[in-house]
Amino acid sequence: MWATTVLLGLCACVSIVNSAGVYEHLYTSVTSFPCTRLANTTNLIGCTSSKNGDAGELWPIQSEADIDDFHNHKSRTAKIIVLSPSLLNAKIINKLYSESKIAGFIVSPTGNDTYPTSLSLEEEHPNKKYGLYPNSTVVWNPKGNTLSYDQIHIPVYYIPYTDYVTEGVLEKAKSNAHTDGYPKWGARLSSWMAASGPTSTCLRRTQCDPLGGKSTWSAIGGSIDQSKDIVLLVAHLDATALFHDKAIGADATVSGKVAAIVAAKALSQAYRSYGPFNKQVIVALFDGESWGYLGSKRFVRDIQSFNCKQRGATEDVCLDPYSISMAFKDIQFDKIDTIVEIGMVGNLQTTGGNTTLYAHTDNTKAPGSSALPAFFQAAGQSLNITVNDVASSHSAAELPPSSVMSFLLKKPIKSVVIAEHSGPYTNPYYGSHLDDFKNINSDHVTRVAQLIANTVLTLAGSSSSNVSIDANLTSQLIYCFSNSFHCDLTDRYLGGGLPVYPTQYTGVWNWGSVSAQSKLAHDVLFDVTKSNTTNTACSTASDCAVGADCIAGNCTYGWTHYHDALSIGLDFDYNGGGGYIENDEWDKNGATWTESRWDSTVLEIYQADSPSSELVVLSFGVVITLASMLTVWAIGRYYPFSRS
Amino acid sequence: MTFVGFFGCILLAFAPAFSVFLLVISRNAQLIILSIGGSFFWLLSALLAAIWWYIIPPLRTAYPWIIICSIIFQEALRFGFFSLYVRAEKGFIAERERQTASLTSHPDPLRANIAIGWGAGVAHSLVSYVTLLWEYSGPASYFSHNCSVSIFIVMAVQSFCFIVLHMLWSIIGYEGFVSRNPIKMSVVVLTHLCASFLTMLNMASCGAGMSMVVILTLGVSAYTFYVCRGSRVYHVSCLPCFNCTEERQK
Repeated sequence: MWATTVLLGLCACVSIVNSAGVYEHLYTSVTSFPCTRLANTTNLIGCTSSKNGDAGELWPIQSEADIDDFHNHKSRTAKIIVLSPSLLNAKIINKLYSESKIAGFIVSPTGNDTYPTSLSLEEEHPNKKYGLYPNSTVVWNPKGNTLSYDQIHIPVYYIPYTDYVTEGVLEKAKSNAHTDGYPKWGARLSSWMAASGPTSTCLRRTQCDPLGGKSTWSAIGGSIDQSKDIVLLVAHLDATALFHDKAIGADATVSGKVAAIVAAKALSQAYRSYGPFNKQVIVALFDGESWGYLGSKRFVRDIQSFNCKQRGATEDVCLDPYSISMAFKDIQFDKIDTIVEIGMVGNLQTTGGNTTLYAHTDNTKAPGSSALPAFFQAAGQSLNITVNDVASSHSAAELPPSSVMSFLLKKPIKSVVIAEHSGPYTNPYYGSHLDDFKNINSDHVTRVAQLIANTVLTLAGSSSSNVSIDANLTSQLIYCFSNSFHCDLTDRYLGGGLPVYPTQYTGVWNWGSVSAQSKLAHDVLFDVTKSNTTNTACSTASDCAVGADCIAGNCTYGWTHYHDALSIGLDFDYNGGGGYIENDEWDKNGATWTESRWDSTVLEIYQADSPSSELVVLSFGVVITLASMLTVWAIGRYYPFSRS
Repeated sequence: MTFVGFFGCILLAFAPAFSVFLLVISRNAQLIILSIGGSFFWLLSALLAAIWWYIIPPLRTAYPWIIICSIIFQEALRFGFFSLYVRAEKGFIAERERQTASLTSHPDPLRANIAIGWGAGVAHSLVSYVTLLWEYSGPASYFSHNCSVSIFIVMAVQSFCFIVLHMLWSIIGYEGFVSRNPIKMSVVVLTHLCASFLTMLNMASCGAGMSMVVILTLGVSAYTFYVCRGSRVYHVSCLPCFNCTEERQK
């Protein structure tokens, strides 16, 4: 008996040691980005695989003609489709899925790295129901195919072109299609998402976490002078895409926030050179704006009414209700005089040396706004920038989807949105992974920053209206946010250790942690608007004296703060174990998005045998077993084994 | 591949093991004990080989030397087990003479050695094949260079052969051990080395290793018939020996 036990034990040990090595020979995992699952208050969107992943043979579909070929192919084995990004829309995905046995999709660029003429997986009017015009008929994003908001029942993965494996996967799919024989190349996509129901269900079952992050804002020049009116300069901090890890949003978001940060640096220098402005300038970058204006809505709610019942140890934090910083208490909502929002400004219309920008206002919802474009036009003259007043040429003009809506929903405030488009978006890749560094012009962003800085100085009543712009900072920031997180600025401020591929996706809200892109924006904004840096080395803010933050390894004094970007329908229960409480805003606010939890996501490539060969092996096994029985029995005729 | 292929390979690899167990070993309780003993000694040799592999770092990637060392351990323990068995045999015989009625009859040496070899062969295939085969239950397979036959099928055929070979080696080896015949003993060691080195061809070629192991198995089978025919150890009978009626009558 003990021998049997030892025998089984040894077998188990050896099997564990062996299996690890064999698995790596059979499956090659590929750098890839999954489409994941989100939930809102009513339904689920995004993709999921089955619990153990979905596997099939690779098959290329790179053009409309390939779709017909595929339907003629009539194969019974499950397929993983290697899809060209240009075909990434709900119509094609649903058609393929409903008519054939498809286990998943891999989106892989065609070998020569050419982009389709347009690809937007967003809504035609992004965030319409959360904004100022819930019944609008305006189409801001005509190329949008809303795939990001569909529920897809199979896994969808993206393989970046820059990865050397990409072409390999496409070539393997093509070799499958061109040869009849086996072995064929297969893929297994594992991205099982735990979320089983809309937000309130999956939060209760702890299968998901609310989307959100940390907004960041900075008072230019010094601590807030509460007697002054406020000029607020606003931009989005986050972007989205079907593949969240590739939500680069170069034009959609990076252009605007970089222009805002660079303008903030110029404004801060002007403040120091020429003295205080007549109005208080505040620069705010809102996180989670792609998901129903999470950051700006909470910011507006908090500066209107926030009653802290329990302060944290550092006095700046409030524990009940939770807020990472209480500095916003110095901002009086009623003092906000003007809001300037920088929208998409990465790729301007250019004729000769002259570029064109558009100033969007809505004088009905925000009386007094129609006077604002003139300030930009005046500032633009010396910069060769033509600023067109959109409202003057369109009757009943609406504001494009923007953060100012969160303010205007509460109170009419003079506001303007500066953007590269007059009507529909000119960005062909809005809300897709293709909105990358090739879709943005650093020089244009610098020029916009210059225009914004000059105009804001005028609006704030500074004695100067011309400042110098740090064009180098613009290109550095654009490189970091849209090309590679491995850059000088992340080394300096975040200490490295980040993934290569930058993403502007807001991620899930966490009371104590800040996403890389949010921290980079905060730290750079802090650094360019700071009062002074001490020589005290630090690794976190807790190493520094009260009031100072740890920026680039030194304790630094400044007026830049974080602010939570979490749905106003949810309260974080800091004292009650870290859950979320649905408050009375819950029903009114559909923007309570949550992201499903998952264990791991992996895309593996392998070689597969034909399904018929399995049956051959099985029948061969049965025949051989019977034959050996017969042989042993026959030998036993000469040598009677069974005799006792 | 799926479980269909998985079970196909299991049937293919263990066909001789199933048949011999069902038709020979299961008929006698002592044979079952002997087969467990054979497995246990084979596993001990694998354990010793693993320790040896671990304590000598240069050996870890030198595959030919790993094979040689591992076979030295396997054969040393095989003959170690034989010497134990021979001692026990004397006791069994004494016991049988003293006490006429025993629970199960004492098996003759040929069947006993088939059981010992069966145990070693099954342990060998369980450890070196089934643990790898488990990965085959997923969608992937593995193909050696320019080969359209999965390596798992190639290895199933080899496992089939190794189970048969272990039984044959046990028969030849015991005969050589008892009759102090160095040729028979070295045939066991050399053919074992040969078969093991042939498995190294699996990664490089398609089926060459497999077919040569099959040929080797047929050769060793023929040699076993030759050994049995003139054997005094297996005096009870000789396998299809059509011209040894005299011996049988003795």
